[in-house]
Amino acid sequence: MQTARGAIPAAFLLAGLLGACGEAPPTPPPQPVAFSHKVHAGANAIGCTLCHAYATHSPVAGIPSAARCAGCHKFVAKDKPEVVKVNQAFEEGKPLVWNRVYRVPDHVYFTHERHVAAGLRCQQCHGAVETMDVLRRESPLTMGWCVECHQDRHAPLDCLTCHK
Amino acid sequence: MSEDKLSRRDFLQVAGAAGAVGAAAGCSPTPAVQKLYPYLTPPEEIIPGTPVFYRTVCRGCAAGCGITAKTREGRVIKLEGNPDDPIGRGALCARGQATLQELYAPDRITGPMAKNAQGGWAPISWDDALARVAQALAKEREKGGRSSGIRFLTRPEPGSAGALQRAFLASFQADVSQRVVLEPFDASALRAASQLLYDRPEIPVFDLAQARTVVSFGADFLETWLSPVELTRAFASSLACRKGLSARTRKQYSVTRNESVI
Repeated sequence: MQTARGAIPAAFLLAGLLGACGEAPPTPPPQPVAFSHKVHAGANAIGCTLCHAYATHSPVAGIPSAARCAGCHKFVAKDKPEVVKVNQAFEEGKPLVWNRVYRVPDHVYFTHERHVAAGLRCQQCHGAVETMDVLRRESPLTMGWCVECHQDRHAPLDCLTCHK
Repeated sequence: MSEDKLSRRDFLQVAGAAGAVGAAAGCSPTPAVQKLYPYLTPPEEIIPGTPVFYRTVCRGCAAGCGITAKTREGRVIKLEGNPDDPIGRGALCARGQATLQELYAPDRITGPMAKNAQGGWAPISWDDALARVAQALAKEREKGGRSSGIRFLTRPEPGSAGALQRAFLASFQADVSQRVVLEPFDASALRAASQLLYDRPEIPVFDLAQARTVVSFGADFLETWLSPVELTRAFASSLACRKGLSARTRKQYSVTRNESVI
């Protein structure tokens, strides 16, 4: 069983190499429905906070509820196969489970509310979402990247601002 | 097949090598993709990411301190004292803080269970459980008159829940003694003493704040006795504490036995 013994360490090393760097543009994770921001925010020019309703007054922007999706889609494009999945999820009472694209580590306190209030556009951190069929992470979300912008905009640089 | 398993030596070698690779690249391994669960229909009072506070009552002991429960997305994450509460006045003891663990204890009973043929406990559905209880109660009711086969097991419920339990038992002509109350800090001796002294089976209130001297026999009022938060504060402000005129006897070692002895 010498080959098997060799394979496991190789897998560990490979995982270490591949997973090591957070700065490399990550592959967008698969999603339960082929949702397109390009169609919603681009072609139909729907504002971000219409679906991500909490961005202006909460730490998290919020994933739209199944009811919010169904609110439009019980009338709009209800025959498209991907939309059928969305409406079906709402009717069955089983919300779609999405894979997270943007995430800051647990030791970072980040709030959308403050950044929206400071007048930042969503695209500044999230990229040109309205041109993306598949949402991908545009910014590295590293500390250096955060601090750079805080310096440029004269935002607070105290450690406690983000690490509480 | 034991050769398939990774030995401890192999694991350490690999972990060291993988760690070195990660360190060389200058960053930590990317965590696994997290799941996002949206609401089906969002509750109006909840803003995700923003805590909602509820005023409630601690059930850690019979003192019943007023508490503030911090919740996130409908789940309690922290308990603190309620500053407007006359008993706790914003403080909460260690036992009270720990009641949160009861709620989320991994070994807690999460649903109805029934004894199976082997004598062990097996989970059953709520429908099944309620049907079984209803059947057993109907059988008792058929007997008519006083039902001796019923016992109502409960924790101390001094309020309307207790009144409901007593009314429920009364509907079966059951005796008060058939309501069995589990009270970890049983105050029945104190009630009996109060009955003898004052003709009332009530728990007296000890205003320790006014005490010049406190002599306590086995009543660890700074730890668990009656209403520890209230008594601790009162004792701390009393002359007895400030001038060191108090003595306590206790069978076991006490963690707070630092008062001087008269």
